[in-house]
Amino acid sequence: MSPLKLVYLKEMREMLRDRRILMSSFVLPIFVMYMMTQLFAFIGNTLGNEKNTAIYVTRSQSLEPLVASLKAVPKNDVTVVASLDEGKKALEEGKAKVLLELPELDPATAKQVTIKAYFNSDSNTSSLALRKVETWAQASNQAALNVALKSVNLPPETAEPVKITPEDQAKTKGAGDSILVSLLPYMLILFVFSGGLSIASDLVAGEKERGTLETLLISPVERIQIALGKFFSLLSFSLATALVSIGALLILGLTNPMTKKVMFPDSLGITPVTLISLVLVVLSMAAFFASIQLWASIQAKNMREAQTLLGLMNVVVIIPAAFSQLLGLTGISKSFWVSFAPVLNGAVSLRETMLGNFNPVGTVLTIAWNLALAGFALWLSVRMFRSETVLAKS
Amino acid sequence: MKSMIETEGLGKVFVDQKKNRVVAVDGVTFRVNEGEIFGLLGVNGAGKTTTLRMLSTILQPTAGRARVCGHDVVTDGAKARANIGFLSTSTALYGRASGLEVLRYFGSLYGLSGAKLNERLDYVIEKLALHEFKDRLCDKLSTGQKQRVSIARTILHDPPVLFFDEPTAGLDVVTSQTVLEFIEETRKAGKAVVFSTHIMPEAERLCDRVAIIHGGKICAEGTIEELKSQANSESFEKAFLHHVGYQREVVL
Repeated sequence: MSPLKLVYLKEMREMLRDRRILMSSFVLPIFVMYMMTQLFAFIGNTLGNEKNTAIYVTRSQSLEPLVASLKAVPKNDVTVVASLDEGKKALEEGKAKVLLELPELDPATAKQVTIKAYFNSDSNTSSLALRKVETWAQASNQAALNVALKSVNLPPETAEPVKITPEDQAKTKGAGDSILVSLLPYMLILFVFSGGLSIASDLVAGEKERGTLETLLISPVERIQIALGKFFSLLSFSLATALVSIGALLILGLTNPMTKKVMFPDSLGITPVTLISLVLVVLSMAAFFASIQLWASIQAKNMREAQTLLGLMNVVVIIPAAFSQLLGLTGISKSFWVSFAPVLNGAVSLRETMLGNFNPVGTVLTIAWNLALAGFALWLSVRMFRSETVLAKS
Repeated sequence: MKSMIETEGLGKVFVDQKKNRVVAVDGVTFRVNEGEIFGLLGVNGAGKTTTLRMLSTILQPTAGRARVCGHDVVTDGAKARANIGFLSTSTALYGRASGLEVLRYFGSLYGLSGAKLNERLDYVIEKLALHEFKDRLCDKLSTGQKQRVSIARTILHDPPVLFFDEPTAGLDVVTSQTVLEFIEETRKAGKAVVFSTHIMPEAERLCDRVAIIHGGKICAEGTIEELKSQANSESFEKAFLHHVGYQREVVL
């Protein structure tokens, strides 16, 4: 058996025997996935079961027909209050989502009714209630307009000389707004990176601290084989963590109908070719992460220093990964330079592929660049393994 | 007798965090023959461990050269390492592996496999009486048991050269005795041994020749009797203090 394989198998065996590592790499991600799918199911249920909108209106005898029309709208819960102050208090306490101040006027002479709508912009439900009231007013106005046009023998189209009919040309209709497309690239990056995080500090810095690295370095094995053995074990563990996490997400998400509806749109652009490209992009990112984590572990004098260094790296990785959730709001996905921005390139490639916008050139560039960076970091690690600095202690 | 270890003007300079040069070893020259135990004696920080680390290729010399079994430690490091067994308090075992797994792992790294590996495993298990605890995780072993597994790891590949860097440090009397007896046996087996210590009775008991190292330099070399005679002392401890230039401070 080659020394590389010996080192690899020994590292894998040791990691799988460490309960702490198993907890942080496998049990915790599954638990997080369970919590997340439950949360999405709850959100889905909440959105699906639209509650009645609490609308408070001040008393107005002259506008009672208007109030009756508002009450006729489904899921409107209209309450008439005696005074404006009473209504404002209800709004402040959250009992009312929107408060309409209705004036007293003479219907015979009044040309227009001005209704003041009080709402709370800090509350999403209040803003939604305002939009509902505005939609009702718009519909009432349109109905009145149609009656007026009919009275002078004009068709309703007279009031709408320009009409816009939207036609969605997206390959994956609606998928761009799905939680999965926004979250998956971020989560994949996070899991692949954090999968190695729990073991990287132990791999070299931990061995330095315990004195086992010296035992290993005294053996006649070429240092490159030791470095590569450790690198591949780190890579395998990162990928295994990501695989377990994504597997848990798919199983938990797809088995719950509500989570399935919220998270997995039917129109995702996944084909065998794009699936292979997704796997290759994730692999290239895992290789990049494993190589920089190994380098950090070699740099550190002890476990604590390694954990600090890896913690800082985690922040550097999280920022572009988190930004990837907002990619839909920007136009940078098509920019050439993105393929050379570590972490972001992978996120863009994963997102665009899931949306059916598979870009072979961009994907190949992303994979090649990530592998080049991984190769460079690995070269630095092997260099350090070959020099006495690998054993530097605090 | 065949010379197994040769050093010529071996030196090591470290640069500390403030960019100061720290001379750890300065022009160390000695030879060790097969079947000989050569002692490196010195106080803490004298340069013993640095010398052994250079010989085992862990550190790169900044001056001079060294050869182990004819292999230069700088240009032919892997071959030099293949002929070395190194035991010190800083060469630890893997806590999450059993003693047998550690031995099998290192045996394989040293190129042993199949029947040869099993034969050597049987030998060291028998020799060091590891039967009872060989399948227990190293984390669960006592200090003495760990040291026995470490010795087994050191000799598993039957190296012609052995380095022992303060191998009894932190061990109880019984375990220390086991280690010292084992080192005596290696001489009988024709191994070339470098034994680093600051414990005088151990050096007197084991070493055929001794080099006293102080401030990175060898300040005296010879048999125990020669060193005593040079210092005009019956006690080896006093002879050692004489050679390192120790002067008792008298406060009146």
